[in-house]
Amino acid sequence: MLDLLFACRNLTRHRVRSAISLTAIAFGVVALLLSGGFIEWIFFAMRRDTIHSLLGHIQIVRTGFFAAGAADPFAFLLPETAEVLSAVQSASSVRMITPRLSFSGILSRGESTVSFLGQGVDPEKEKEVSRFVTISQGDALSSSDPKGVILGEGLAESLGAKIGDRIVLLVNTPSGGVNAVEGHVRGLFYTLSKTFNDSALRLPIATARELLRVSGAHTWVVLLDDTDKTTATLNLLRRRFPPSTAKIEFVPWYDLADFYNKTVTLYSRQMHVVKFIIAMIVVLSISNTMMMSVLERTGEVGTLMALGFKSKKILALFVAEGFMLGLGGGLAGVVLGTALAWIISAIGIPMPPAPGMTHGFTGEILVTPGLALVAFSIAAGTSTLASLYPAWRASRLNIVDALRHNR
Amino acid sequence: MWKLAFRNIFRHQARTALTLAAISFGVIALILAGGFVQDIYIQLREAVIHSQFGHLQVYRAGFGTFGRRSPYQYMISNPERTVAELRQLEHVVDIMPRVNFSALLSNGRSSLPVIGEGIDPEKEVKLSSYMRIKSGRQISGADAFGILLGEGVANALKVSPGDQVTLLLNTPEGALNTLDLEVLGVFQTFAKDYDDRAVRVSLSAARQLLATKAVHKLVIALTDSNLTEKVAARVRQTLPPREFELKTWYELADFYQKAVDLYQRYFAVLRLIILGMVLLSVANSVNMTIYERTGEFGTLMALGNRRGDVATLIVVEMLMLGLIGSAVGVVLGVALATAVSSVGIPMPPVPNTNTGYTALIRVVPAEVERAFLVGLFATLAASLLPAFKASRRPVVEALRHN
Repeated sequence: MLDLLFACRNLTRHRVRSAISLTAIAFGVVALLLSGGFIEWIFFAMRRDTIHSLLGHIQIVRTGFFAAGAADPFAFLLPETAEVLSAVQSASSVRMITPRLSFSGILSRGESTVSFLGQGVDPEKEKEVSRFVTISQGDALSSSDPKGVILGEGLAESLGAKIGDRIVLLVNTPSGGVNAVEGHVRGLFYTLSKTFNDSALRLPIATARELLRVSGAHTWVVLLDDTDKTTATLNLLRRRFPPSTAKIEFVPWYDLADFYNKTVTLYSRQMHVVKFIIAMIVVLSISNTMMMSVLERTGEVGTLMALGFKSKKILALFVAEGFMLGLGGGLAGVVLGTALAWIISAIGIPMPPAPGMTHGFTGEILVTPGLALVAFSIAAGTSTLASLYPAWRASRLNIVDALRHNR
Repeated sequence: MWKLAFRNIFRHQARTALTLAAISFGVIALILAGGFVQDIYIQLREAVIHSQFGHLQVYRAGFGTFGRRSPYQYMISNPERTVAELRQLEHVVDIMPRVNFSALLSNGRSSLPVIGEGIDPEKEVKLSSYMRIKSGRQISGADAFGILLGEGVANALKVSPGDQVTLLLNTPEGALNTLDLEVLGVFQTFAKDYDDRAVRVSLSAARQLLATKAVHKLVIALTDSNLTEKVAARVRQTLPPREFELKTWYELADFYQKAVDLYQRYFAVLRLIILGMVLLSVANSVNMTIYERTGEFGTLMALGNRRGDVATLIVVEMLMLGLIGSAVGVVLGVALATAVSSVGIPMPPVPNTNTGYTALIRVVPAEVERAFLVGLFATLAASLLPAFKASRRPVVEALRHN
């Protein structure tokens, strides 16, 4: 304890030098917090958008649907009502459960024809589940307008379709026949996935069932009140409805969000590079400062040794100084970085559309406690490490030679 | 002055070494990070060109604007003549006609919307070096009724090489046409969204399906991607603009554009961080040096040296340090980049792609030059204020430090 107090006093003896080192450390911590916080925010926003536009938190499907469903969609239909449905609805963390029916077909408007991937959804419930399916023109689906269809922006563009246009949907039915329905474009939407915007349309599930001549749904999308409860709820549901008896499976969003998972892997790796660079800043700046300090205070070290200080004690003293510098710089950096993150988030960072997206977005910076802790530990840890060598040099000084420096 | 400065920086070797380390580290970090990003650009570029787009694409005028809506009204009706004309140009390796169509692909139980391309098998195999055949085999000139499926298409329909599939589409006349084809192989490119929707058939099969002799585009392959601009200008001169329009690969590759955009920003931030780091470390050691040598500067001034001389001395010393540090950084950085490149960095799959890749670090002269200048100017900038302050000290007070 005395060591630390002593170290603090020594540091205040040479204010300019300490200030510069502190600035370097704090700069590193701020850089880490801001760049890391930006990436944390991207993860957060991407997770939120993916869940609230495409996936929901948990999807309930017939066993094997994701492996083989696209090849034989009508073999994997869920019934319209089931015991599972009401049981899931009444689970404590579940906010909502909504059915979706997926199919593909050909869409035509006048002379032009394109193929599409369709989703029949419950218009009212989907408003809440799909908060991040942004309606850019026209209106969202409504059950009072059963023939109103919303198109992805890219799909509408390749068809040349505008709000109010008549369109015809042509699909294969389970019996092998062909069925068609005439509808109109009620709105255009976009999500964070360009692929989805380019090929998808949504319409009320009642109309979709009529068109395909089926009942039921392919997926029940479960929305929870908190994303962090996904795994707990998933385990609960899986225990209650074992796949062997219920013939259904529960799939969490993170098993389906391929794009999200790959983004997290890639960006996390890039963050390691930034962390390494920042650790190097701290090491270089601290070893520089400590080296100067040792050289300058050779006489002082000699005096201390002559007074009976063991070389271990000298070592501890200098390491304590490095540690205190790291602690102070780290703290200052965390405070400053958090404040800056807060200000920048309030203004927003205009970002161009990322690969695979169609619309730009406004970035923010999310400093999580974990990130702050990592940044702080890097500062304190590396500065202690960097002070080891100068401290060792100081502790190895020859008393007589060192004393001679006092003139 | 230069000689004195040179001697001064070797007076205190430990300190000089530390300052040099800081500068060199910054320069090395810049070269490595810059080379890594450059490599991403290059690999992505080659992947885009050699799996989907080729270097240049020629269409009938108006295809870019209206082609998506009415694709059959904007076709090149007499491709042979244009091909012969373009073949005269320098750096052109090959010219490949392609027909595009969107259709439903059916395995008998269900169907999937796909985007199809009718290609000249012999020529396209040479261009598509970044298209990996995962199972089955490549399409060849003899396969009039064969089809290649993207990995995602094959998975969705649960078909594998040898199976029969049916293509259903609207002909230019508005009628529905179907064609039974045999799956020859399954391909994988870097772009997952392409593999999820794309199929390839031979040009003759596509022409039969659409009942037409015309093609949508002529894809031009070049000897070197860097020549794209030059040849594009030449092609524009050759072809009458009222009849044809031209797009380069980078105008077509939306994913590439956005990735480059994103990485440029990312790299700008990284460069700023490294710049800040070099500035701070150098400022740190310059300050130390000058504080310690206060007495010496006092002596210099007492001997009649002007304040300007002292300031210049300090700046010249730092300039030398910056030069040496940056030069060492460039040498080490290039060496490291070469060493790392010979091993390769295994990378996880980028979002929207299926397979990981091996990253290299490219040594690009422009990036190296910029890294050198950043190192030099950061050092110089960091020395200005301390040099000014040291030279303003009253002589008597400075002398007392001795």
